[in-house]
Amino acid sequence: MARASRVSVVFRGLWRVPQVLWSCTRRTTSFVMRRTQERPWLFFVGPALLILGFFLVYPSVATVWRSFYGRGATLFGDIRYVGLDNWRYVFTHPTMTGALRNNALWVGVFTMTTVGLGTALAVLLDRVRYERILKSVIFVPAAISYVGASVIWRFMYAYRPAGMPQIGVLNALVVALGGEPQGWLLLRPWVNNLLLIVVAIWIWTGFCMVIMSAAYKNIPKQLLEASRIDGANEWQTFRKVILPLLWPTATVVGVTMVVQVLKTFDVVYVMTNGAFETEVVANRMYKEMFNFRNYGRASAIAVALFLFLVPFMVVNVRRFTGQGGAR
Amino acid sequence: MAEVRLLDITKKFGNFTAVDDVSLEASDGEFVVLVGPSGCGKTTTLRMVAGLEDITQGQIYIGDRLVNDVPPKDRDIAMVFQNYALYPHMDVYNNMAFGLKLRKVPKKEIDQRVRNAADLLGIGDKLRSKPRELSGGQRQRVALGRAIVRDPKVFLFDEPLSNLDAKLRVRMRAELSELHERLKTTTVYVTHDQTEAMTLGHRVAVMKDGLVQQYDDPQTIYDHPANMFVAGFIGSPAMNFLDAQVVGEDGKFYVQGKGFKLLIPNEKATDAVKDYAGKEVVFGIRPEDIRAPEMMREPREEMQFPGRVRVREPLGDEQIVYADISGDDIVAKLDPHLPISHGQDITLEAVTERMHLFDKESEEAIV
Repeated sequence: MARASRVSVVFRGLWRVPQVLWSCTRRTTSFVMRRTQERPWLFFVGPALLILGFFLVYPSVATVWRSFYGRGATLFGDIRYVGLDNWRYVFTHPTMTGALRNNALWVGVFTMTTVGLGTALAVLLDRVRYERILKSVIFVPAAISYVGASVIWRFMYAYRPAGMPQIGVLNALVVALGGEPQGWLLLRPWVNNLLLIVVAIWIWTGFCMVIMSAAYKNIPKQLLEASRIDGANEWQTFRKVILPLLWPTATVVGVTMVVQVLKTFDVVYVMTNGAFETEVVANRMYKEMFNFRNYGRASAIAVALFLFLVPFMVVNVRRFTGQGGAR
Repeated sequence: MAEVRLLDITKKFGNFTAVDDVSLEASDGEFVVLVGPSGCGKTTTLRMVAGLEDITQGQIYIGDRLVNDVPPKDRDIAMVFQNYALYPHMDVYNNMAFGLKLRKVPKKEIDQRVRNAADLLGIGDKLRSKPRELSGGQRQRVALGRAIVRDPKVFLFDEPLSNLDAKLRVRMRAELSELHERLKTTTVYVTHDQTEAMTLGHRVAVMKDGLVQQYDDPQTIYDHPANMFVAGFIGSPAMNFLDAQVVGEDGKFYVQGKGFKLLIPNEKATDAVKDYAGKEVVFGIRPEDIRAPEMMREPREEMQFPGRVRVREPLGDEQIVYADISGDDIVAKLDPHLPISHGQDITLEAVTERMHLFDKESEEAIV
C-alpha cells in the first residue's frame, strides 16, 4: 500500500515535469528575448566567442606570455621573467640555427619535389592506359601514418657492416652493384637530411598528384587541341597553356605542402630524433617541452614556428576566399 | 589557299564505325558544310581533316599534299571550336597572336595582323580583355580572329554558332558569309542546323550514320533530295511523307493513298515513275508546296484533297496548319490571312510539280 502510494506520488510528480520545464523555458526565453533586444549579436556570437576564447585565444596568449618567462613558466611553477633570452636561443643557438637550416631545406626540397612530381605524374599518367591503377598505387602512402612510413623507410636505409647480409634495400642495392654499404642516416648533413625528406615526399606526392590531376582534367581538351592546331608542340602546349592554367592550383597545393612541412616532426622523431644534424624546429620544441621541461623555450619555439607559418596561411586564406586567384 | 580532298575515309572507334568510306572534296575557296544529326560522323570527319583524329583508312589531301601523317600544327589549317577554346589566361591580343608567336612571325607583323583582324571583327577595343570578360558573341569573334590572323590554307569550323542565342546566331551567320566572301579561304564547316547549312554552304554534305547521303549545292539538295532522310532533314517544317501507290489510268498517272488521289503532272511522270505503277511508294510533299485552293488563281481539282484542321500555328507571315487526312497527319504552310479554325474541314491542293516519290524499301528518291 505504502509502496503503491509512493509510486503514485512519483507518477503525479512526473505529470509536473513538463509544467516545470515549460515555465523554466518561458522564463529563460523571456530573459534571452530581453537581452537579445538590447544586444542581439551577443545572443548569436556569444557561445562561439566563449568556446573560441577558452580553447584558442587563451592558449595562444598564454604561450606568447610564457615565451618571455623561465623554464617553469606554468601557472603554478617558477614564474621568472627572462626577457628575450628564449628568443635569443631560438635564433642564435647552434642547435636551433641548425634546425632552422634543416627546416628551410625541408620546405624547399619537399615542396618543389611533391608539387613538381605530382604535376608531372598527373599530366603524364593522363596518357597511360592503366591510369587509375597507377594513381591508386602512388596515392597509397598518403594513407600510411608518418610513424609507419618512417619505420618502413628505416628498413630501406638499414645498415649492416660490410660482409654481413644487408637487410636494407638501399645498401643491398649498393652492395649488389659492388659498392660499400653506407650508414645512410649518418652521412651528415646533406645526405641524411635529404633521405629523411624522401620519406615525406613518398607520403605526399600521391596527394599532390591527385589534386593536380583533378585540375588538369578540368582543362577543356579543346584548349590543348586548339594549341596544337595553333602550332605548338607538346612541350610548348605544356609550358604556355597547361602550366598557366594549373598554376593557381599548384600555388594552393604548394602552400599547403609548405604548411605541412614547416611543422615536420614525426619522420625526424622516429628515424634519428634529430641526431647527426637532422634536427628540425618542431622536434626541438618537443624535446624542450617534454624532455627538458623548459616551458619557456618550448613556447618561444612554438610561437616562432607559428610566425613562420603566418605568411603562407595568409596566401592560402586569400586563395580560398578568391581574392588572389586568377580563377 | 588550297583544295581539300577526302578519299574513301573511314574511321573506326573499336568496333564502331564513325565515318564510313566518305569521299568529299572542297575546291579552292569553296565553303563546304557537313550537316547531319548528332552522331552522324560529321565532327569526326572534320577532326580527321584537322589531324586531331587518326584516319583508319583512306587519304586526306590538303592542296597536293597527303596529310594523313602530318601533325595538326604542320597542316596549315585553323579551327574554330564549338566552345571557342580561347586560352583563359591570355588576353584577346595574345589569344590571337599565340599561333603567330609560335611560328616566329616578326613582332611588328604580328601586331599588324592582330589589329587588322580585330578591326575586321569589331573587337579592336577589346584586345586587352580576358576571355571571361567578354560576351558569347565577342568570344566567338576572338575565336574567328585567332583563325583569321594565321591566314591558313583551310578554315575548319566545328559548330561555331551553336553556343550563341538565336538572334546573335543569325547575325553571326551573315557575318561569316561576308567574311568568307572577303577572305575566300577554303572552309569546311560542321553544323547540325540545316538553316546554317543552307545559308552558308556553297555545297552541303548531308551525313547520317557515318555515310554521306548527298553532296550537292543547297538548292539541289532542297529541290532534289536523294533519299527520304535528306528530304526530311532539310526544310522546316519537315517534308510530309505519306504511304501511297502509283496508279495509271487512261494514260495518266496518279499517286493514290488513304484519302487522296493526286495527278502526277507530265514532267514528273518519268519512266522511273511509270515503272512503279501499281507498287507501293512514299509520297513526299513539302509543307510550302501545299496551298489552299481559294488563294490560287487557277485551282486544279485533280490535285486537291480534303482534310480536317487539328492545330493552327499563326506566325504572322504564314500559318502552319496541321491537318488530318484519313488518319494521317499532314503539315501545310498556308497564307496567314486564310481564315482557318480548329476542327474545320478544308480542301488543300498539292503543287505536285514539286512532289517527291520514294521507294518504300530503299527510301531512295524515284523522282
